[in-house]
Amino acid sequence: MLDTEPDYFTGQWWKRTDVKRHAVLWVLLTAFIGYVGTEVQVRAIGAPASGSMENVIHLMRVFTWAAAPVAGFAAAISIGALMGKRHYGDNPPAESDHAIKNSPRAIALWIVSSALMCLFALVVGLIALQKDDASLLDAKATHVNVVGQQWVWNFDYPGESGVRSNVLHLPVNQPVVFHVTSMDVKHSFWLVQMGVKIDANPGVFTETAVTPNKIGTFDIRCAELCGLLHAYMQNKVIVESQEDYDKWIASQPNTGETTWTEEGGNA
Amino acid sequence: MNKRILAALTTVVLGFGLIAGIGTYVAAAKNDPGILVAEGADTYTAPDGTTYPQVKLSLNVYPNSLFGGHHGAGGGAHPDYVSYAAGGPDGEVLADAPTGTNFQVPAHTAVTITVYQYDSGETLNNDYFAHVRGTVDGKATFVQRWDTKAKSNASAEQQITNIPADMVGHTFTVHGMSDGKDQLFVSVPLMMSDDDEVTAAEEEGGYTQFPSKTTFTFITGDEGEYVWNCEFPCGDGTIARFGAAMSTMGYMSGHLIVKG
Repeated sequence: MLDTEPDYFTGQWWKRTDVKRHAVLWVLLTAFIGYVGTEVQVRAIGAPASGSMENVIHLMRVFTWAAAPVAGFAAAISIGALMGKRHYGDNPPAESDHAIKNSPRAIALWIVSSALMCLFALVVGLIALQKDDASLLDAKATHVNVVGQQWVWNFDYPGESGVRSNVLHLPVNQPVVFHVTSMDVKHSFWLVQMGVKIDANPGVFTETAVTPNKIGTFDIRCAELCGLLHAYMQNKVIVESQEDYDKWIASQPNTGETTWTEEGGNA
Repeated sequence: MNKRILAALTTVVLGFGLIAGIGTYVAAAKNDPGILVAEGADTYTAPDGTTYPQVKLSLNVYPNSLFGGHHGAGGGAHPDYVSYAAGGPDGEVLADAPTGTNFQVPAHTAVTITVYQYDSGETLNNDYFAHVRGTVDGKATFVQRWDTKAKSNASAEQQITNIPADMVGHTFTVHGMSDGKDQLFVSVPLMMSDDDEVTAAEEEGGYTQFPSKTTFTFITGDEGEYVWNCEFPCGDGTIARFGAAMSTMGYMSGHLIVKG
């Protein structure tokens, strides 16, 4: 450590040119990272098709904007360091030695601020999860068994009709509970525009729920690398009016072989 | 030239060479680089009265790659792998088929595929695939025993919508979407051949005289490239029996190219 090291935080340090320059850079970078970090990924995801997805997007905006000042600060310091004085020559100058100071105040500030941010993320995240789980508790929910297999999905609907399909049909504004399993290796059932993603494990039923709120055709993908044709393990989910959904169910052949049971196990 | 610059350039060139080598190896490891273009037939009138142009494909499924298919003399790199392959119009075993897992068919056309299934079978993981799905009328035409020498049915022909889930040899399952275009889903179970006959034929250096025969027709949509695979777990013991032949393109999976 250098004996002549200047103490940056004595006197009116905030009036120094380099501090002002870094502060301006920090503000600009925070705005840039916050805006790009939220808008680009939200637009890439596409329009939400459920309250859960709207919740997810809101959460992404909150978390990104909460993290933007930290990322902006680190980026401003990095850019400032790269733009600063440079030394050319074989012998490094004396001030290039590491100047590490033990500052209890700075350490305390860092720990407390990090802890507060983690607590904030935890509380907001738990609130969002609680909202997502609400459909699971709805007694009027439609139940669908989701079966993953290398490299396709198929769907079983409850009731006497024993409907089985490779395309998922759902009624709009109706809570749906998915009982998800796999016939071979691990897959992950991902309703892209509905903000639903849950593992499909062999021999086990995992449960998740959603209430689609937009009529249209949306994407289903496998989100767990599951073998040769994982990239093609895609399907469509068609969200339609209750009337159209009822018509579709009635038009399906009665296989009488649905694997769904009220307990969520294999029949 | 400065030694440092020379070293940097050499590193970059070697890096590009390494990547190109890996790419070349992967491209050469397709196992079935060819494309089988379906032959035009007549026209096909669907049960709803709509008439389509029709093309036909004749495929065989072998219990190994030793005696027939596109893998070369002696079965190629994996003679023990079960494999789809192009076959003759009456199920003849073609020992030097140029290709057998990549098919090209026209858009908005009735595609009629006949599969001669020479392998034995067991129980499906998921009985969903014991049903005929996505074909015209949801049916297939099935013959349990096709006599490859007499070129005629050795048992009665019947229309099926499903077969017992514990008697499935393999399936032909087209699935997936192609770049956001139409989804195509066709899945047809292929009945197992007699286990003893399959084993006896293999010991004699060939395939059974009496494969099962399944014929089905589906209608293609817009142009696109899809994948198909077998949904019977007929690979080795890894990845829930979806390893080996099931995880190697050119054996129990391939591409269906809808074009033209």
